[in-house]
Amino acid sequence: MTLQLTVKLYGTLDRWIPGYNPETGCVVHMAVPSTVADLIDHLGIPARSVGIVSINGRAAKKADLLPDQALVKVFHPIFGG
Amino acid sequence: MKIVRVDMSVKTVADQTVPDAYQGIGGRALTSSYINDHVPATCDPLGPDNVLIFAPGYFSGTPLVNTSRLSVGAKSPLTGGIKESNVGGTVAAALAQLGITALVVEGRAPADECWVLKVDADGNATLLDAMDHKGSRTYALVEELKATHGEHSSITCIGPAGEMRLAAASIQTTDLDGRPCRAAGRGGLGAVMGAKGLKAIIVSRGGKSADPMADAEAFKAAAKEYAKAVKADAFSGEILPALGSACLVAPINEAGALPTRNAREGQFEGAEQISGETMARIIRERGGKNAHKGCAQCIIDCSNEFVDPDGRYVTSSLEYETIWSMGAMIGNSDLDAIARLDFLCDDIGLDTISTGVAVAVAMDAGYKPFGDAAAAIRMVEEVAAGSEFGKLIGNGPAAVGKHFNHPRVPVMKNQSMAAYDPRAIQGMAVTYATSPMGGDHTAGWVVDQNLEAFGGTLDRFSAQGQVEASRDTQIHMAAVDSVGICDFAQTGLATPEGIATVYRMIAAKSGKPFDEKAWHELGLRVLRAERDFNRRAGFTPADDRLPRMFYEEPLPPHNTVVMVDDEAMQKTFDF
Repeated sequence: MTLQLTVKLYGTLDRWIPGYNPETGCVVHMAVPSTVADLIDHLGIPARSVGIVSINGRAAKKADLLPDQALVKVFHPIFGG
Repeated sequence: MKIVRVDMSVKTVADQTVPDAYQGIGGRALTSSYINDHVPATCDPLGPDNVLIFAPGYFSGTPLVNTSRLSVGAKSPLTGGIKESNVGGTVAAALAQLGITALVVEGRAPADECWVLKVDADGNATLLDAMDHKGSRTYALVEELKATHGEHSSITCIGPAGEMRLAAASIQTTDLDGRPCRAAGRGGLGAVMGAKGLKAIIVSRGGKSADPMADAEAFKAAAKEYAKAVKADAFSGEILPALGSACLVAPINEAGALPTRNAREGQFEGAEQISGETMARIIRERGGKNAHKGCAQCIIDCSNEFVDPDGRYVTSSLEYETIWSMGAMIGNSDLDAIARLDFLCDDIGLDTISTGVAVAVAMDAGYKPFGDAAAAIRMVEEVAAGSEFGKLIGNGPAAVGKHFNHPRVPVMKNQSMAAYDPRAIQGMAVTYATSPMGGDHTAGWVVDQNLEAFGGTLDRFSAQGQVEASRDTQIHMAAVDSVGICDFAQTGLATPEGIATVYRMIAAKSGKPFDEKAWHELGLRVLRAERDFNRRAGFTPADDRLPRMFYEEPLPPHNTVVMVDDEAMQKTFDF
């Protein structure tokens, strides 16, 4: 069984996914169970380039499990004010 | 190294050697110390006893990048306490390169007068009659002043809101393109400038009289390292040039911390339409400018030029806080309307944060529906027209709330909060409540600790550790605002090696040893001066609190309230 996820990338993270469409995001399939950290690894984005991840509109931790059909948004680290 | 003192009551200008008490400091350390020492704390902020002081950061005018930061200080007509409002552009570098440590404006001209202060290429200042410019908006004013005094000047000015002495009036200053689009927005200091009868300050750029360095080579070497670190950081080297500060819209919204419809919710359904990603795409498609250089010696280029569908200039720079205050906060997802409102605020001389929140409070009170961008534009235009309702908007959210007898007014010490809801990021509750500035995000931005590294190194919904985080950051920021490093260039000092580079540069300029302890002491000096002034102005611990709405109304989608209790708040300044 696999998970089907829709992943949206923000900031300049789209450069890690060739052909990424910012309007629709991209569909990713992962094994069950998979965590947020697994997804970032699977996408090939260095963990240091990621600051915030949300699952279905809620900020998530690295070890959180991904539910099937989730909308996952991946953000850069933030700074400043 | 001199202070230029201007007395608007008798129209005199005099140079003064920097007194010993203010040697070796700049920016906020200088403005707050000076105001605390010279302004009667209980004076009328719009009266002759208030002092308006403009001080470049300690590093302004040096070879260090991203240091054209100006601190403007006075007693605030908005908060009734001490104020330091910080702005970029070109003026700080220009003043520092003329060897001017501070411009101090005292006294008050009669209400029917209007003056411009001109600082020439030799650093000599003269007051000029400016009655022809009375009532003018900032963009037209700057064009007229440039035509008369030359293009290669920095112009710092007020618009009609400042002349009307409205409590949310800003002081605008020109960017590298000569547009008055950079704002010392917070605290109503434009009203202080207006009350003094000073419409604008023209400063010649490119002076050659910057402060001497004790060890110029050591400074240059450290400055080079610092610049390298700023460029190498992904946020300041890549994301900010691509999206500007608007890069914060999407993540803060996703965290449920973007105050929406006068902070009734923490997520805005229209956030994608006003995100940094959308803004950058629109600018690119229309032929505007992303990665625009707004400030002298900037290597980040977080500014932008937003244009209309026909490619015509609308505003610069469209920033996160304004996108929030004129967007989510009023339920508006029309980026073109936000850009128009940003331009109007710059042109009329208004703080975009306070003005947007004032509109939000009016909408929340039922005056107009949320999301009615055309109504928001009319409300802001009314400020320039001088109508009674316009004056309410121009006096900020508390004035609007009082008028409508509406209790949901998100202000602290009468100044509106910024674009981070304290119920979703508890550390911001501490900063908003306790900062001597009133509701202010830059005074102690603890958003990173609450969101970074996949959900925060602090639990953002818990009070645990938030007072300490806010305290440490407020002390640190007071020092940053004093040396005049841009907030976004702090990526260069985010590591132990980076901050050590800052200490080396201070030592290289001053010729005196400087270390972590001295940095901490610098921040403490600033906060102590500000707290002392506010205490003498009548502030008590009861003023270091948030409005009831933040303790009583759970914020969707997380349905949390502020958890930091009064006792904990009171410990913020236990130092």
